Amino acid sequence: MSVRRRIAVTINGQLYEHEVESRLLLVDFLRDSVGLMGTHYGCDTTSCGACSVIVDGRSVKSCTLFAVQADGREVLTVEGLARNGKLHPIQEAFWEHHGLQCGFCTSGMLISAYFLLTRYSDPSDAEIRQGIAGNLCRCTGYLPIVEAVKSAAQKRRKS
Amino acid sequence: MYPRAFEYFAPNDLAEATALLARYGEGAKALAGGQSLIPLMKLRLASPACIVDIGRLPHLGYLQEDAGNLNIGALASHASVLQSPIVRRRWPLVADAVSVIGDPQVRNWGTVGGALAEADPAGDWGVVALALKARVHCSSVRGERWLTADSFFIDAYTTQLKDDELITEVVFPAPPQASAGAYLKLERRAGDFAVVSVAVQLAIDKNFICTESSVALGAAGLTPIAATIAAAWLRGKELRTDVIQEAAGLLAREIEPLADIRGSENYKRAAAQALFKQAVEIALRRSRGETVEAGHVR
Amino acid sequence: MSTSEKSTKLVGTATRRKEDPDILLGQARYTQDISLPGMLHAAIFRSPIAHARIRAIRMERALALTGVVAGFTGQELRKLSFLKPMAPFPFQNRDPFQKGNPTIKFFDHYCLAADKVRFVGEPVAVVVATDRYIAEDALELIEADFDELQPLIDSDAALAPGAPLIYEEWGDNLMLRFRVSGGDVDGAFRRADLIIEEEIRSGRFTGTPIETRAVVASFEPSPKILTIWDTTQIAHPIGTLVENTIALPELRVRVLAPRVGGGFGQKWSFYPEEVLIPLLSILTRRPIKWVETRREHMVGTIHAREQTHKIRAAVLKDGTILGIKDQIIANIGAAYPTGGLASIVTTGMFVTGAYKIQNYEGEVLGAVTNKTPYGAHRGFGKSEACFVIERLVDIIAEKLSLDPPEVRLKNFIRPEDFPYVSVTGPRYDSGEYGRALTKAMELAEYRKWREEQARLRRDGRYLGIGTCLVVEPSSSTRMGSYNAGYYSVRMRMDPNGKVSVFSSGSDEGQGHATSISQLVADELNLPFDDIVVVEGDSWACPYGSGSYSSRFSVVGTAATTLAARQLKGKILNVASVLLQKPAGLLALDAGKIFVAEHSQQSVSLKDVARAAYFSIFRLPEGMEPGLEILYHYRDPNIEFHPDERGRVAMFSSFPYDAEVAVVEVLPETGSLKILQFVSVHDCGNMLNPLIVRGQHLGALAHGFGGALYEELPYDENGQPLAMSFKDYFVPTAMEMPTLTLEHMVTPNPFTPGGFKGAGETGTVGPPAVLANAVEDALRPLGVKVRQVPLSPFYIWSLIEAARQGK
Repeated sequence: MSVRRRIAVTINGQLYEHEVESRLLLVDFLRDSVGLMGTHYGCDTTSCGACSVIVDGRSVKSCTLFAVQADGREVLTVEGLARNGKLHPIQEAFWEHHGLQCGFCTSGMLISAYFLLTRYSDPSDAEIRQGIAGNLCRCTGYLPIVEAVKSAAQKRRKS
Repeated sequence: MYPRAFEYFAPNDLAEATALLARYGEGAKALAGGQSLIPLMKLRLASPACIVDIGRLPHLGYLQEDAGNLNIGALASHASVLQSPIVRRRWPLVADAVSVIGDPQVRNWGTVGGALAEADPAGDWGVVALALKARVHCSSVRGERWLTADSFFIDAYTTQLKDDELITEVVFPAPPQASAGAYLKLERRAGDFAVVSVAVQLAIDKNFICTESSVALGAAGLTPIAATIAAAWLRGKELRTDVIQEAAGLLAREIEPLADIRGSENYKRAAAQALFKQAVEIALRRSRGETVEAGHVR
Repeated sequence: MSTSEKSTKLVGTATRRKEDPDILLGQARYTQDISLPGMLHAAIFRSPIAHARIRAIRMERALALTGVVAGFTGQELRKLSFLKPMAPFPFQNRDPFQKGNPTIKFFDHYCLAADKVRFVGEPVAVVVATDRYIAEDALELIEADFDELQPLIDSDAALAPGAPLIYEEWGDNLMLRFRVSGGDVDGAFRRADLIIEEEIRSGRFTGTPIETRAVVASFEPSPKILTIWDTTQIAHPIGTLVENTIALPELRVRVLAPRVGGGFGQKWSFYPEEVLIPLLSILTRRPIKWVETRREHMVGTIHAREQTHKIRAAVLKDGTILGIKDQIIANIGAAYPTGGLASIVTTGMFVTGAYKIQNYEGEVLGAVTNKTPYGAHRGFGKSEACFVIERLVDIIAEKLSLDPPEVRLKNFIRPEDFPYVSVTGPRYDSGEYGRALTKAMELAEYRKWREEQARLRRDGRYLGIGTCLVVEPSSSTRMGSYNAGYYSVRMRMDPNGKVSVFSSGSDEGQGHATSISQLVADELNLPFDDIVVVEGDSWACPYGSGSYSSRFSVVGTAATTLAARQLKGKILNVASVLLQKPAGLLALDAGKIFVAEHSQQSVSLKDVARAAYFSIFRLPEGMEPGLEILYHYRDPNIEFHPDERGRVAMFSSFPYDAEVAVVEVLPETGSLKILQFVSVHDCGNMLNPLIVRGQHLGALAHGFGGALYEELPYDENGQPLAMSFKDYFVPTAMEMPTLTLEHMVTPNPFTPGGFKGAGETGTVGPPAVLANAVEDALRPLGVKVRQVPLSPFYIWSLIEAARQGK
């Protein structure tokens, strides 16, 4: 019953406990309270998706969730994709296919691609475009990203 | 960019939630997925002093069929509706509509109840609820009641819900036999508010006569609009091109679109007619068993 | 790539980027990620009104809020003796070409408005708080009283006699006037079979990089060093501009651009926040951070492209274009030092496009209005020029009943004409425009689509085909500006034999570190990973003008290559001393220098480096210690001084692309279906085809955005109507059409690598080619397309008007 609240959030497998203002957005909790800067701010109307993360297995724009809503939940950010410094296959695919230029939208794109591939094992081009429709990019023209996701899906199916 | 400060409650069950809403009255708002409310709070267009987080209330995220009716718990996410095999197979109009709500992230967290309660004039669920004659179940400390879609929406962002009331379920009654529907949304680009959207549900008998019809539009007025005159025109007739064209003309006079950066009133009226005709065609083809894509129109 | 063998060349290969792992891992640092001990957060109160006198700004309630540390109004800042008006940019004075042409009026804008506000979004006051949320709470508590004045939205209205004055001191609303002419345009008009007169508009547009702007500043008082982290494309000029604006004696400014999330010209400017935030650090003695919200960005970061062309063309019956007269009126918003003036002058220089038109008269008028200031955006004035000339060619074709490609082919500059001096002075380097267009038409199956069009017309359907040829001059130099015509690189081989390159450009996503590493790896036969590139640091990097105008490919690569060759010379000189053999007999490969004929006689690169740094007693007198080169590369194909007619070669390299688009218009909703889109792109040699493709695709996406989706309307009160991505329709992946891309290569003959700029060409074509396609589709209705974007509402309105016989 107060403006501040104690929350416990598991982020990339690690538990973080903090006292936060109830109005603190999840993106600011990740960036400022926890120090994970890979999740970015690109807009203020839930449009650009640069802040996308996974919460309890579902992608979400972390600018449109309060940190208190993540209490007791599991969060995956871009920093949690690689294992022991080894790039996740999606990250490898983005690298191979030049799916990034300035990189600012990339964390969000990786998260959306990651989520898409948990739902589709062999997404079509149209399904990939739908899957990243909540992420804006101004550098790549999207086609290299679609190619990267397709390639990542293919590799996943092979292994 | 950042909301004003507020008090936050996370009730454990529906009773606790409604008690909190009753206690704080006008100053409290329920937070479900937050995908409508939080953007408004960030722009400071809504600044409730107190937020009641109902997003974790148990037993409200279901989707099931019961005697042909489709019952959706208020906290079912748009994504869960979209992924439901029941919806894909037997409720194509609903599938069309949900597929064009926002984007994948917004669909993961936004809820059916939240969208209906928000009553955005361009909102997709409102149009679907009207077209399919849904019933909305609401709960408060004063008890429970059912509201019908056709009386639910009063004004832009305003419904019959009282400040202390929560939607708990939306029920779509079983459509008549041999009926099919379609939902089309014209957008400037994916994820945008509708320029205009149309839902059409038709029942066609074996003589190709339309026996039942329901038409609703979004972004065509301050609330979702039921085009009852256009729908009535279709009934009892074979839906040939000239019949559909006449109905489109009637429909144009039933809506009150607002001019904005997406277009003038006349443009939106013309677009509504075009979408209506397309939606009727798709519904007809689906009633004949064809698989047809709908949803986005750009 | 193994570290011991190094024989395959990297230049020309699709090398994946060394920048990427950090970014992919979420470890890249952007300006919004900078955090310093004791840092405070600034929030800016911006004018809600387009044109008004400021009567009073009251900060008391804001300052009383817990967590608010300071706050200032424009009036308060005026009292600081060391604060000057914002130094001018891009032109450094009123007569940059020293010929009275252009004439420019300036206004002394400070970093916060004090007497008057002139556009919605203009910074008026600032608060500083312990966190960003509280800073925003404080903004709501600022009370401002304004006396509203009549806003001017339209450039014609602004230039009309008797219009209200936005800058009373000026006596009118004309900020810039530039005239350029060549040949005998009156004679051309006398000889013409036909004179065509049109008014064509280019719509206001903004590039919206996904990273908004941000400034973090930290002032150290002793010695006085101001460190500024800034999302800028021009670190050195910003340092100079800030030093000229915050005129504290002995103040030194260091500007650092951390990784920048997209620029596109939006970050090539001098913004009030780049003065205000550092000033706050000086006043509060704390580090200060400001991160632009997207809503701020939509009004506080520059717009571009809003121009009206009143153009006349003198034409022969056979389609030859004899001459053009163009009056260009640019709606440049408020007169802040934002770079737009250079952009609109550029428009005036390139209206003749890809065509051999040697009679031309252009007049550019920059009209101030109560809108967001106009700046540089991808295409930099040439996008507007290309839109106009490519539309004009189609209009000419229609009037003469010729197929538009015919008129293009007839008038193109021919391969044998290169280097071609255009009527306004620029020397076009090389190209094969006719071949590119023909190739694009083949790839698009132009003839088949014409047949399909005829067939569909009989069914009452509207299919259209558009063509265009974009020439997108790159690498600009401008007398009297910060685009000073050279690119500097400092290259050091350290004692361990690894190379650091300090480049004066800047990277907003173009992959400079990779490109530079490819060049240096090849020149010095070093492993790709042994090369480190530093950019965007105004102290570590040699003074330069940053990145703009796709210049890196032209002058940046040349500076890098030639610096590397000079460094190699130094290495071989030292090696020759150690090996006692003439340098001319030595070769450098795989970490060692060896005698070419007798490879057993060798010395390791490391030993050479260590000798150069630590054993100078082994070197002859006169041989410099160390292995460090500072190299300045002058742009070889530019002229600084315009002549008395305004002609000057201000761009040096001329990439181009030929485009064909096939569309179907759905008349009931005005929607467009893009059925085919082909681009044949020539940017000379390609240093890295992966990067070139990425740049071109990204540029095309910007082009589609401007062609079909993005507009910045203002209401009659000067209120902007697109304040977020909910109203400014940046395309998503779902909007991108299927594209067919092809490459041609006509190398740049002036530079070592033969590369031309690659980053802007794509953005220029789509508005023109799609407008051409739509008009072609709707020809049976007699529709005339004269502006972009081609929103469905606009197309529907054109059809309705045509059907009603207007």
